[in-house]
Amino acid sequence: MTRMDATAILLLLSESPSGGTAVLLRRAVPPDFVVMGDDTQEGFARLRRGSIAYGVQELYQALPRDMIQGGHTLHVRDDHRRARVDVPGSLFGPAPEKLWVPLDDDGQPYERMRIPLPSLAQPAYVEFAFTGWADDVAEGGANGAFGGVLKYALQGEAQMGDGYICPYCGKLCEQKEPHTAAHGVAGSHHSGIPTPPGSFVVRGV
Amino acid sequence: MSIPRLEARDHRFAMHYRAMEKFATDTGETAGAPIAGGSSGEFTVGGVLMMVPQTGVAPVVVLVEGTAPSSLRLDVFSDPRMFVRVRKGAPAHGLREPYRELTEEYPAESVTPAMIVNLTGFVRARFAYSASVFGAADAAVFLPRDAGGRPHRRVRVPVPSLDRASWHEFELLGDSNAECRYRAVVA
Repeated sequence: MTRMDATAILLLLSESPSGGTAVLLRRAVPPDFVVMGDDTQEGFARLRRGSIAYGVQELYQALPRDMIQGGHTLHVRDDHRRARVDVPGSLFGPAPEKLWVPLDDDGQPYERMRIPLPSLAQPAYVEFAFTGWADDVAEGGANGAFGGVLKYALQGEAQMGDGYICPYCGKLCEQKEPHTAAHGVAGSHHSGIPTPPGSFVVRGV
Repeated sequence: MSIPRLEARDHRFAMHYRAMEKFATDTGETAGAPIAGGSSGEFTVGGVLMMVPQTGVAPVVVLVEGTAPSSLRLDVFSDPRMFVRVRKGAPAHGLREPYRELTEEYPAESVTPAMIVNLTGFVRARFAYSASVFGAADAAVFLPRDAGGRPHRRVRVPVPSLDRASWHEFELLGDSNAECRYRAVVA
């Protein structure tokens, strides 16, 4: 079984009030620029620097395509396909018809994919299973526009993964140290705010 | 389609979600830790508005109680800055709502803002776990003052949820004239 653990959700903010396009990323490093790989005259530039904050959408702002001439650029259509998933509005916002998900190295859909949820300290995610191609050409079926539309179904509930989310930069790490020490702040400090001893666990219901 | 509920199913999951969230069915428990200053009010955030500036400055987040306004003017810097909403439709629970700064082609004076953010009605704040909650460790966050003009003692920030709404909860750690600091609620 092939499974893709998405590292980030890239939200491309077009100049038109379309609500944005969501692209799932499977690489560890976010691209500086994103282009759709078609004849559109629009490209997108990342709005912030640094590592990916686990589960938080990465915002990309539109800019003229010809301004993108270097740097790490993701060409979406090369190895992504449009997809329809369950509960898209809750995960990607109110533009579910504009979701692109990665294909594997052989150009095939992943059988499973995990999408990160914003979480503190420990990573949460939801998992989807590939259920086939959309069969209606009007909606971009296998022989329709966009090279076909994938269908994914939600599997169960949100789950917890392994690892540690840095409280300072939001990056998912295998363990707390030495990552937090590299920021120049002690592991017991949250964004520069000292935490009382023994209170590392956040209180809930 | 039956949408699965976002509930604790196993021990690790339960521990995590009890740790990081308070659900809509919250009964209003109070924190044990003493709070420095502030009012006794609790502020449940309805929308997390993310300003996308044209120039490379720290990202600005505005927390609002109600729905997302169509346009917004920031009167918190040396010059007013006008932003307009990017998306259409109702905002999704827990997802940041992006706003684009108007360019020189559309000067700020040409639009009457639906909301004005200034330091009379809003307070600037810094949150723990800012990168995980707002997407940037250096985000400048503005949230409304309470009815008495003071910072809210507790703030609940929405988290993307599959079925039942959930929040991260923060409490006021201290405030000064320049900035309030909030930490995640601890046991």
